Amino acid sequence: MEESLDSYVDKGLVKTYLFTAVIWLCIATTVGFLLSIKFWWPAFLNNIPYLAFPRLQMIHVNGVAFAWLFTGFFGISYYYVPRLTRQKLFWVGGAWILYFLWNFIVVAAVISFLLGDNKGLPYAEIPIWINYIVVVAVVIYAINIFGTIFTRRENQLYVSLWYLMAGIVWSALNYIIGNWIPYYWATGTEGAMLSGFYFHNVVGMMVTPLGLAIAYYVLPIGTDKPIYSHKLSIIGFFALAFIYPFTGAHHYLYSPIPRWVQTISIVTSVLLIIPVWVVITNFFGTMKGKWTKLTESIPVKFVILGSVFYLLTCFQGPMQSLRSMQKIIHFTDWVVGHAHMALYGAFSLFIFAGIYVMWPIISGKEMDKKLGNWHFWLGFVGFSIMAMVLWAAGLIQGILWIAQVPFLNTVWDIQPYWVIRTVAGAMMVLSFFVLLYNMWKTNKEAVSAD
Amino acid sequence: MKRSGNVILIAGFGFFLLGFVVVGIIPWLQPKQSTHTIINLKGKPEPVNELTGLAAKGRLVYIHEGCWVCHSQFVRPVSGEKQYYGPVAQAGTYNYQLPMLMGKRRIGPDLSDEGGKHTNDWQYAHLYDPNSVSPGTIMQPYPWLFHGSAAKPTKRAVELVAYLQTLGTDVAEGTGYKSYWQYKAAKVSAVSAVVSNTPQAVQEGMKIYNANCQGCHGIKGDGNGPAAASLKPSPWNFTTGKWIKKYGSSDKDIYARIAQGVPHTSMPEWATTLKPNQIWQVLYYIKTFSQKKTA
Repeated sequence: MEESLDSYVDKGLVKTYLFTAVIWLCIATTVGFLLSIKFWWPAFLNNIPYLAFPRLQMIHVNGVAFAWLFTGFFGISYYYVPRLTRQKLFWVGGAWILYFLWNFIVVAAVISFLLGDNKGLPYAEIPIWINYIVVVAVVIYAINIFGTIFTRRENQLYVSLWYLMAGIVWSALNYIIGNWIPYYWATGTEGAMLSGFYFHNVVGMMVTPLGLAIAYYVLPIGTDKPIYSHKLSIIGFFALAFIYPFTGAHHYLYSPIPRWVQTISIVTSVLLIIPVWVVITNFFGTMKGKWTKLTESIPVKFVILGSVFYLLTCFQGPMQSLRSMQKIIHFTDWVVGHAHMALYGAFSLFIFAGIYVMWPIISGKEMDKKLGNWHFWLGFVGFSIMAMVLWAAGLIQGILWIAQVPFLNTVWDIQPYWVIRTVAGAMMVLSFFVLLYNMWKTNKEAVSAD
Repeated sequence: MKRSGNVILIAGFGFFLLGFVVVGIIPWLQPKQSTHTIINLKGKPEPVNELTGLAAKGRLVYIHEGCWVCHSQFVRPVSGEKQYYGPVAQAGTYNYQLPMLMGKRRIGPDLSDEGGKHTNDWQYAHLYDPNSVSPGTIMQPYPWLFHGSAAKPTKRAVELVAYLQTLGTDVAEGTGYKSYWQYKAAKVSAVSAVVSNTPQAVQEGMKIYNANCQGCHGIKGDGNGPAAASLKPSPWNFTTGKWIKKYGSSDKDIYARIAQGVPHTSMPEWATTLKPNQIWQVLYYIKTFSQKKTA
């Protein structure tokens, strides 16, 4: 039975995707590490236009979001979709076309950023000519996934596949709205609303469903137990779909966009507690009686820590969308810490969990558990320090601004925190290189064993 | 069972588009959101100017060089931002802007009202080497916008500075002032001495001077700071005592120069950055430069 499910998966394809994804992760976070040095040592690499702070910042943000997370999502879905539908991918050639297209997009975007070419919109910096290629790539991916799911031989449609299908539809819609409308048509405050709509949905309607799809797939495998409640899965899914699209404007509170739009975004942001806590209840319910797995299984470790961070992110998110919190933390490092908790703390960890489940099967050899634990703890400790430091720095600077302290003095006051952030960031980057080495080593040993 | 897939698709599409229409499209239809009029500093409605020529090109440089990554362009009505940066943001200011550049993070200060705050010379010196006029800053320098020195800006630097000088100037239209800063400087009246001239005050003043003033006026007060070479007119040399003769000898006069800045020079108005007692402390310290000479 297990053997037959394995035969549906194109192992070389998944392997290539996942290894490439982790390489991009290492590159994008190394760039982030260099950036963090510029905060407390501004003379660092500052005379080369290509390495100017804003250009590297765009590479870091887009690299993590689109090069790492999406390559990872694609690769992992090529593993679980055939297994959950009991048949091979609808269009394996398409998956390879997507691979080359997506990497072309990433390389083209990086070169554009190095040359300073960007659209001036947060998370939509990638130049417009590349955006067209991204849409083509997403269409190729959609044909492949929908083709496979609609011709499936398994009657049941598992919750991972809902999230995946919806995630693809939302990604396409959101990407088009966010990259074209505020660039060509929506001026001023309207542009701000649509830009906020877009870049919040990049996390909420693109990364979240695609990431949760992985978590929902990995957890039952890691615990050897079906998911706790099918009903909760349905509630969580529809609550997310209904609430999330309204929240984007919370990035522009107290700005000249209409006050009622701001209020809707705050109310729905607080409501987001519902889908998140439903998902978390479901995950922790699945762990019932299986908590010892937390000490034994590396994928369970990652998926449960990811769930905890997901819970924290989505508790922090609603709280910081309140007007009283916004007065202090908006424009500060607090928000940067929050973004890292979502993209690293929750969704990167879900992909790591997926890698630790899938890599042994597609390479044919167990992964080094000791290195796996190093990856886990270096990343966990590094991230925890970094998040705390960013939140502290954000609160301090926000309060100093309110106290009318001269701007430059507030910068000096949080510089020590930025030094610690660099050290913590180095731990995280190191943990990713440990993962890369572990994957490479496992694969090499598997090949030589043959 | 196939139906459940369709339900998810339709619900997914439907909910997403519902959100898009409610928070994306409906506000677009509100006339208030597409207005090109703002309330000026004197409370009268004024039409906003669309950027043209150099400034419009400078906006593209601003995007290209990624200035928007570290500098926001909207002042909120809370957290004392009005005192910090300038007038609160109004919808009309933004409605010619495509794409909008409101920004998301203040790694550097907000630039909503940068226009008229500094001279072009100061802006060039700052872009070429931010540390020269603002010691200790973490801003990225932009030497590639210059031909080797702050005094030789490239076309792109000229465009960028032209753009920066337009920021926030719309609120001054029809008030008789060129910018918010000119308007504000006129409102700052000399404040009587809140600190007396003691050695401690001079000591405090030295700290403030070394952090804020020496970039232009030099650590010895001789007008020869790192940025001085590219500024015209040159920063004052405090060591000769001539400056006191020119600007009147009373402390109140000197205080006004520091607090309000000097129009058409690179001397900014410090009343927005320093508190009155700090300005007095700096003033006492500056006076020691010429005392050393005469003594």
